[in-house]
Amino acid sequence: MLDQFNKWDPFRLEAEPGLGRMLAVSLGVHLLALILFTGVFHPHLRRDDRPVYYVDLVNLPVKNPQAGRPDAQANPPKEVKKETPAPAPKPPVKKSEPVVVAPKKPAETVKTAKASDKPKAQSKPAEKAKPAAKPSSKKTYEKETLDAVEALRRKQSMEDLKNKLAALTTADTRNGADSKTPLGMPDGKGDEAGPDEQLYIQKFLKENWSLSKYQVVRPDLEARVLITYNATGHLLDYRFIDESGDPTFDKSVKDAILKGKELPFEPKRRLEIEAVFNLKDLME
Amino acid sequence: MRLIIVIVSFCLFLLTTPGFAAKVEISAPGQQTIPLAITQLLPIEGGAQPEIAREIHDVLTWDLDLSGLFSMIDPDSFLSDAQRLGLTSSAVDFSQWRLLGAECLIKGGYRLAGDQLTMDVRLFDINGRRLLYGRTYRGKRKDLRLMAHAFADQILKSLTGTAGPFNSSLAFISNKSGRKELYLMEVDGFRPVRITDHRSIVLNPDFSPVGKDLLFTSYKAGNPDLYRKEIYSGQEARISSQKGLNIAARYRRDGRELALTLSRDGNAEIYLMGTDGTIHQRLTDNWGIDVDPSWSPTGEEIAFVSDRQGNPNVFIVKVLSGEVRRLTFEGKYNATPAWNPKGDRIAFSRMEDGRFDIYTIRPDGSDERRLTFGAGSKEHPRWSPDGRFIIYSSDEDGKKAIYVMRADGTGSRRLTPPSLGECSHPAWSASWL
Repeated sequence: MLDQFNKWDPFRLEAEPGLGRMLAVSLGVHLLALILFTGVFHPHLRRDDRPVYYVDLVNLPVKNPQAGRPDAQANPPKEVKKETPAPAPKPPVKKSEPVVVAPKKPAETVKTAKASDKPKAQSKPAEKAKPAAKPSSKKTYEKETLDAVEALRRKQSMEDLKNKLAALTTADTRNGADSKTPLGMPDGKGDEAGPDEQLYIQKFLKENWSLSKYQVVRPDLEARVLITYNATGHLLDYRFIDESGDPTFDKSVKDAILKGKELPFEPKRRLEIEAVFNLKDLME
Repeated sequence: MRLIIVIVSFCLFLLTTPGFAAKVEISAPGQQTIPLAITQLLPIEGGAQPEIAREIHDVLTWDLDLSGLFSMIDPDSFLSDAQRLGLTSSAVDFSQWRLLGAECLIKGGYRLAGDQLTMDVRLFDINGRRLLYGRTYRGKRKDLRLMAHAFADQILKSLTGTAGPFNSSLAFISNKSGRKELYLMEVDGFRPVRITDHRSIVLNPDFSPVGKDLLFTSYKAGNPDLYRKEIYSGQEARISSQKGLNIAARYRRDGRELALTLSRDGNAEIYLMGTDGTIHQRLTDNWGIDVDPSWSPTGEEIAFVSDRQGNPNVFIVKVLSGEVRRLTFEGKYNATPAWNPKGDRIAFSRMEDGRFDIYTIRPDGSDERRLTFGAGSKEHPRWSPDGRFIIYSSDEDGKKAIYVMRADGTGSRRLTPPSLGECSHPAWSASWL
C-alpha cells in the first residue's frame, strides 16, 4: 500500500519533513523570537528598567509597598515636612518666655558673685552662701533675685516637661515627629508608597465571602482558586485549583469571587491571585 | 523526538501552573451570616388576606432566625420588587435586592379557595440570580403553619444540605391541669395540646423514630409503669409494668428496641426491652443506681447516669460486651445525657452551685463545653432530629418552662407561655414530612 502511494507521488514524501522535525523547527523559531525579545544578545533592545517611583497621595494599593506604617500620611515634599513639625514644639516655647530672662540674670549674678569672691567659688551650694550674703542688703537683694530666678527656672523646666507630655499624649502622631515615618507596610520591602496590594485584595475577598458557621460541615475545608483580574481591575477568569469537596463551601467561595467582579482600584497590570479559602480563624 | 515531547510538556506545565501568581489566604469568611430578605406573600388571585401573609412571614422569620444562618434585612427598606409576585427568576429585580445587601430572597403567593389554601413559595439566590428552591404547598387553612415550617426546613436543606427540624413536634410535661400530663406543641411553641388524661403523674416522654407514637411513664396505676401512645389514633397501651420503676425509656434509632431503667430486682439498672414489653437483656449489674439511658445513633453504645463511683456521673456502656467506661469526671451531679443524632456529642446537665446547667462533651470524654449560664436550673436536654438545636427545661423566669437554643448554646428562647404552668421533660419528634 505504501509502495503504491510512493509510486504515485514519490517526491512529496521526500520533500515534507516529519512531525518531529516540524516541531523542532517551530520550537527553534519560538526560542529565537524569545531570545531576541528578551535582548540577550542586544542589551540595548532591552526594556528600560530604571526604577519608577509612585507618589500615591490617596493611598492606593501598590505592588511593592515600602516599609513604614499603613496609617501614616503620604509623604509630602521635604519643605512641607520641615514646616509641619514646627507648630507642635512652638506652644511650649511660647510659654517659656521667662526662660529668655533667666539666662541674663544668672549672668549678672555671676558678676556680683565674682565681686564677692568665695561664695562664687562655692557657687553651687547657694544655701551655704546665704550666711555670707546676709550682711549687705544689696547682696540680700541679689540673693533673692537668684532664688527667684532659680525658682522660675525650675518652674519653667517643669512646665516644659508637662507640655512635652501633653503634646505626646494629645497631638496626632501623624502630624508630629512621626510624620517622617514613610507610608507603607510593616513588612514592606519595595519602593512604592501605599498599602500592600495583596493585603488589600485579601481584605476585599474576605469581605465578599459570606458563610455561616452553621453551614460548615467540617472545620478543615479549604479551596484554592486562581483568580485573574485585568489592568483595570475587572474579573477576567477564575479557576478552582483545589475544591474543598463540600458544595456549600465551594459555592460560597465562588459567590465571593463573583461578588467582587471589580476590584476597588486599578492594578494597572494583569493580576493573577492564588486565593486560599479556609476556616482556620472561624470561631466555633 | 522524546526531547521535543519533554520540552513541549514542560512548556505546557509552565503555562498551566499557578506558581507565579501572588498568593493570599482568607482564613475566615468576612460575613458569617447570610443576609436574607423575607417578603410578605401576595395573593395569587382573589382578595388579599393579610393575616395569612403575616402568619407565614412570622413562622418563616422565627424558624430561620433560630437557625442562626441568617441576618434579616429590614422589611422597611424593601423597594418596589417586594410588591410584585415574581415567582420566576426572570420576574425578580435582583439588582434591587443586591442594593439592599441581600444574598437570599424569599417570595411567594397564596390562594385561599374556601378552606383550601395553596402556598406558592420561592427561595432565590441574589448573587447567582437564580431560583434555589420553589414549591407549591396545598392544604387546609389550619395547615398554614405546617406548610411554612416545611418550607423553612427546605430552605435550610438548600443552603446547608441538611433539612431543618421545624416541621416536627415537641412533647413535654405540664401541670396546667393541676396534674402532670403529656402535651404536644409545634416547634415554635404554638398550639399546645394535651394528649393524656391520667390524672396522676406522667414523666419522661420519648418519640418513636418515625414520630407517630410516644413512650412515657405514668403513675396512673399506682406504679411508675411504661406506656405507649399513638399520636393520631390516641390509642394507648401499658407495655411494661414490672415491679418498681419502669422509667426513662428511649427508642433505639430503628425503633425495634427500647432502653429503660427497671428496678424489679431492687436496684435501678439499665435494661433492653422489645416494643411489646418483653425484656431482652439486663445491660448493667452494679450496686449503684443506673438511670437515664440514651442510645448512640449507631445503637452500639448507651450513655447513662450512675453513682457507682460516688457522685452521679455519665457513663457509657457497650451494648454487645457490657463494657462500661466513665465519661464525666467534673461536677458533683451529672444527669440526663442525650446523644446527638450525628453521634459526635453528648449533652447533659450538671449541677454546680446548687443549680443545673447544660453541657456537651465528645463521647471520648474530650472537649467539654458549657452551653448555658445565668440564673435558673437548666435540665433535661434533648436534641432536635437534625442535631442543630437543643431543647431543655429552665426555671430562669421563676416557673419551669421549655426553652430551645442552638447546639452551641446561642439564641436561646422560651417556647412555653406562663399560662401552661410548670413545663419540663421535653422531647423532639422526627420530621413529619
